[in-house]
Amino acid sequence: MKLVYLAGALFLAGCASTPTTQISAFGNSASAIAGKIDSVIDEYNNAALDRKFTDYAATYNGDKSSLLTSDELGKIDKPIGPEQKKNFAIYKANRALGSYSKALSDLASAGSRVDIDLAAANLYGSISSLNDQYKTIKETDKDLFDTSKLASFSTLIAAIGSSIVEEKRREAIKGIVTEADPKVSLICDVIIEQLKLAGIEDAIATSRQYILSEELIDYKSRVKTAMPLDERRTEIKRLYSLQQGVSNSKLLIQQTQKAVAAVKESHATLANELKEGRFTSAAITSTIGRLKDLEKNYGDFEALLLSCKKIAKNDKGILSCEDK
Amino acid sequence: MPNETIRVNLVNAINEMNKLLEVCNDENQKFEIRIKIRELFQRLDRVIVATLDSGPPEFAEAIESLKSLTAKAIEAKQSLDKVAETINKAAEAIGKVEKLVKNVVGVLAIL
Repeated sequence: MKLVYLAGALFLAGCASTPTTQISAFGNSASAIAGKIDSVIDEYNNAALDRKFTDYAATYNGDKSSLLTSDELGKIDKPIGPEQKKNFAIYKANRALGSYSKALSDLASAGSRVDIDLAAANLYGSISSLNDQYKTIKETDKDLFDTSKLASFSTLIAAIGSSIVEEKRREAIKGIVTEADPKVSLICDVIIEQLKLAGIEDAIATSRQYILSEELIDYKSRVKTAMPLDERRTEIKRLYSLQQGVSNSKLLIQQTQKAVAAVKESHATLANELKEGRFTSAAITSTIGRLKDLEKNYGDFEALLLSCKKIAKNDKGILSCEDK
Repeated sequence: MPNETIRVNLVNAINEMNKLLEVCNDENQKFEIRIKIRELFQRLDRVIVATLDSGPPEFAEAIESLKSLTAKAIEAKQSLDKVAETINKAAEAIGKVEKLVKNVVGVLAIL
């Protein structure tokens, strides 16, 4: 009797794992990576704020301390505030990509008609947003997505039905992913290009370099009075760590570009597999694994450098991975 | 790459001003250098989010002025009697970059 129960349980467990599970996993990973990409703007803001705090602490010192007023303090702000952030091209394009990935995942794992309708609405919203971001960034009137194709997605999603026929769901996902692929590829290229053009790494590196200079000045003035070797060593370690921060400034941007390129590549793999009618395959597993790995090691610059074949250092001591 | 050109020259100028700050011994001059570094950073933060037009003559003037500031800061590190001159050069360069960024309507990253 126990064997019958076990067989029943295994059968049900098999049903619970839909053939679209890997699509859902892809969407989740791509969406998580999109979330990490936002951290580039945060890193820039934080570096700028740290620089401003250091600047004020160094400038309004000794005789000059009386010049520090609440008006002066009020001038400290993030270069990209919440309102500006919402309009930042990289942020907007990335948000649209993240929403698309999340909606795709939701569509793949939706358990009811209501969930499917919600995922479909989010999917249309994100595709429309991808269109808008693309047009604004590229200064073109041409839509990235053909709006008539959106109508065909709608038909495909409606066909899934209230009882959720897996065959129809797979058909809808296949249609959406294969149609979206060249566009996702273009929007990923745009994000990578914008990350390069904005020069955020230069701003981060220069802010950190300024902080290092002020810390060095401060250390030199303090070390003039007797300071035990142990304390001096601790200070040198702290300064060295700041120096490392300057050297690594570009790596976060490079890692972000690499992550966006990986999302593009994974989406292409997914589209190719779906075209062949494969909803689960070793290629999909491998590409999701790579995304998960990038997500897990985001911010681990040592791992990035270890995986880099050609490491370069410019005249300002900034490290970069020059692999093509 | 107009933004890149202004950005790179701003970064070079700030970095050389930092180095000058590290070797300068006069507290009043250090105060002035810090204020100028702050003002250069303010322009850099705006260049990061703006699209600059490289067409007008002011663009080339700003680049030249930043290059001249960088060269003067390098010189002043060796002969500290040139610090005051460097601070004046910085004021001039900041004014020229300001002309470029103050009325920027089209922007690269802010849409």
